[in-house]
Amino acid sequence: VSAATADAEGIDAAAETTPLEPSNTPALLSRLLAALVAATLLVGIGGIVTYTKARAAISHVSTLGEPVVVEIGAARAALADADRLALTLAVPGRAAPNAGSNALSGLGTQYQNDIAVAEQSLDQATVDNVAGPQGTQLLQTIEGLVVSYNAIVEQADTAYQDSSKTTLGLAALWDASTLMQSESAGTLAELRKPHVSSTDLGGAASVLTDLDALRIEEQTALDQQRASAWNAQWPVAALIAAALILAAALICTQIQVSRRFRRGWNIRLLAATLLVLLLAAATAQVFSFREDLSAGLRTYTTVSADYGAETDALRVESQFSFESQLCSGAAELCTVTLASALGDYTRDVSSQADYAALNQAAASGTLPDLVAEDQQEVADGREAYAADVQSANADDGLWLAVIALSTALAPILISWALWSRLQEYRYRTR
Amino acid sequence: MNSKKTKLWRRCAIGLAAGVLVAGLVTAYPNSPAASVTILVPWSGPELDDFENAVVTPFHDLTGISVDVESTRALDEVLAADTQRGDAPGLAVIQSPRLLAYYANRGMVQPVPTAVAEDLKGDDPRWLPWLQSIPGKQAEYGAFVKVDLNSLLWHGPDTPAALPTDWQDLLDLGTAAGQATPVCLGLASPPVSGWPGTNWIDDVFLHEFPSSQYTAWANGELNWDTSADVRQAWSDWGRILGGGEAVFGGSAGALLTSDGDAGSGMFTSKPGCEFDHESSYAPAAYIGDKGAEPAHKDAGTGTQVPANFGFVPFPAKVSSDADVWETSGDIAAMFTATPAAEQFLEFMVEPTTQLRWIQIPNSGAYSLDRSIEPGYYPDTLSRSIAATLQNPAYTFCFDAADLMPSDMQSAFYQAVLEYVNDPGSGNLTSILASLEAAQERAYSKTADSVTYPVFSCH
Repeated sequence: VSAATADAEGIDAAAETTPLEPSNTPALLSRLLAALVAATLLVGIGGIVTYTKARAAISHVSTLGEPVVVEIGAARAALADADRLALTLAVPGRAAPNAGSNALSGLGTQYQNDIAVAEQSLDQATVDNVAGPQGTQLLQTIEGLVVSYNAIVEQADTAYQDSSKTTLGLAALWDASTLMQSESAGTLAELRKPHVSSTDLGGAASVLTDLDALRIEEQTALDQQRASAWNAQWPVAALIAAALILAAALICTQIQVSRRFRRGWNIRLLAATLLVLLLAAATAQVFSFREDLSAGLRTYTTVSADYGAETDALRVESQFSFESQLCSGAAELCTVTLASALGDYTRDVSSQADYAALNQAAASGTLPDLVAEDQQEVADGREAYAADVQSANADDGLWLAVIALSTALAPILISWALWSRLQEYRYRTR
Repeated sequence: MNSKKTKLWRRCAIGLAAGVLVAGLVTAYPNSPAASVTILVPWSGPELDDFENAVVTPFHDLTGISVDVESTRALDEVLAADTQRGDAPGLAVIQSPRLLAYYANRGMVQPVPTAVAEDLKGDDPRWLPWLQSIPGKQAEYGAFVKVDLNSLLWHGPDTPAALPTDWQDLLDLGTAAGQATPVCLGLASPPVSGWPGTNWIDDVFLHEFPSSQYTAWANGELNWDTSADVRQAWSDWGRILGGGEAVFGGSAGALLTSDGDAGSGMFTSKPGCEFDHESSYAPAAYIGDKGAEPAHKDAGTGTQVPANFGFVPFPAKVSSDADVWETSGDIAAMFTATPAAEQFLEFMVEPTTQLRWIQIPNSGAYSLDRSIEPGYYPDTLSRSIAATLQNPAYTFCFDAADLMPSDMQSAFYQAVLEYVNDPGSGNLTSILASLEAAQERAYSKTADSVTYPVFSCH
């Protein structure tokens, strides 16, 4: 006895329950078949597209931003350190006025290294810039200001070698350090407002505040690109939901068909249901990759934020030390015309107490190389981030193949399952 | 049966089509950029805010065009880098007619559009020659969007009687001062520290010698080290400063104080200094100084309260030179001609925009538009400055440092610092010799291959 005959007998048995009513089951069944096939194809094709797009977005995010924010941090730390070292020219005994024209430069190799690191980092940040023309403009402004800063510090160095020009040297250092550090009220605050249409590329702010502004610009650009990449993933969630609804619909169909035709479970329909569930699971893998990347970014952001914190703390001490030199010869000025400038200049007075120790270290040439220490910390952070990125990008195409296979097989199985039921009505329509 | 099959396939096809449509919608991301223009400006703080409020926002509201305002202290450097990369902004505001001439002669700046040229016909014609950057051509390559009057000595609330009224008074300040320090001076302005001193020397030169001699000096035609007039202007300035003794805080004070803070000493309960050589922008700089009260409306009565500070014109050696004033200005030039850039440039110079700008209290903005009469300005000080700028009897000479090549300008700034540190005669000789060497380099034929116009007073 063939399966078709057995099916026909089943139909007859069903027909006996409503002998006088013309059956509408074939029409319903054919509509159901069309709807299920269409929905499965829709979910499957959508799955392929959204998975591919979401994967591409994750790959894109993993290539973004890793360098640029850190390059800015490296430049900032190196410049803060350079200024800390430059200011020690004013420390008595550090660059003692020397009448001889052959006096050696008071700026040591560590200062020169800091400027070189800053310039290299800014060059690299220009290559990795993600903030568009605004970022480029800011970088050019900063690079220009660093050149000006270095020229003024060299003028100060030269002046300090001539005992008749120490005031000129002090003024040049004050100029240089103001250019590097002074935070003009309002400028940075303006920049931090996301709704502000204009970008203050320097204005009355300093190199370091410009660098902070640049970091914010770059970070905002990165966040926007990430948000846009993450937004590209809402269809994945929608697709998974659609696949689960489809699986539920297939189970309902299974139950209805089983009741209507008084049969057991239809293996083909069951297999199609499992394939749809597999498709949902494969698509959901995107979230796992995304979580790997997010974890990496969190680690990295923490490391970048810490970059140069210690340098900044010692820099504040050197500022205070420098101010003491500045005001010792011009106490009147420090209370009137320099008051607002000094207020801008020394933003954090918490660690002023140790300036005497700093002066001593500067005079004896034993200042620690903080930039090298920072760089090691960031190198470790980079390594951890790289591992997370590798994990986020570890996709050998298996999941996409599963989605594609499910998309191809599930409609065939559904058609096969319901077509054979439809065939049972062939002779009843005569 | 056949018809059922057909129906079934049709439904499948509709289902598929719907799927394809949805997939298409999922993959499509529309993106349509709006019109915009970039402008590079040297302003910051309140000056930038005034520009945004009076010009940028109304323009955007009117046209829907976005204006990307990029403010930088290192404007010349940024502009040079941009133009070298072939990525110049739509517009830039520069302060040196010589720099404008450089870009115009290199073909990097476009002549102003016809509509702007028409508008410039309503401006004070004495300023237009500084915009005609290519010798022999009548075309303007930029437009002054606001201007400054420089030859002013500002005083605080308690010191007007102490101001010099004639040339000899001015020269004797340093020697007659005794223990007092009448001069407020701040030279720190990184990375261009020293420029406030060059404005002093410009004014001394301009009010001591004929304006033709001043223009010869500004155009690089006088030798710094051998010209008696140049040396006289420097040494007279040194005399006014009393060799640094007449300056609040001494030479060190002048070197360490920023230009913007120099006037603070006039407003303390016991004034540290009596007058400040500043441009017409001074009231904006004094806002925030403890004791300074800019012009404002009384909150209770609504009546206008005048500022508690004022100014006198820079004294002149001979009375005819009292009618000569040093000026400067902000020139908007078009580097990349786009419809949006043209529209914005036209908007910046049209009378309604200029009026809105100058009417912001203490903005320090002055317009060249002749239809904006002094009465339109918001307070007595600004009306007085506007009346001076519009007086047809006066001659205006542009800030000499702004007419020099940038290398010469930098050397001039640095020389001022060196001189204030040591105003001795021997040091001046050495400073002038190095300035002459700088001039020879800066004006040499190989410095750049541009034929500059000869800048004159008008």
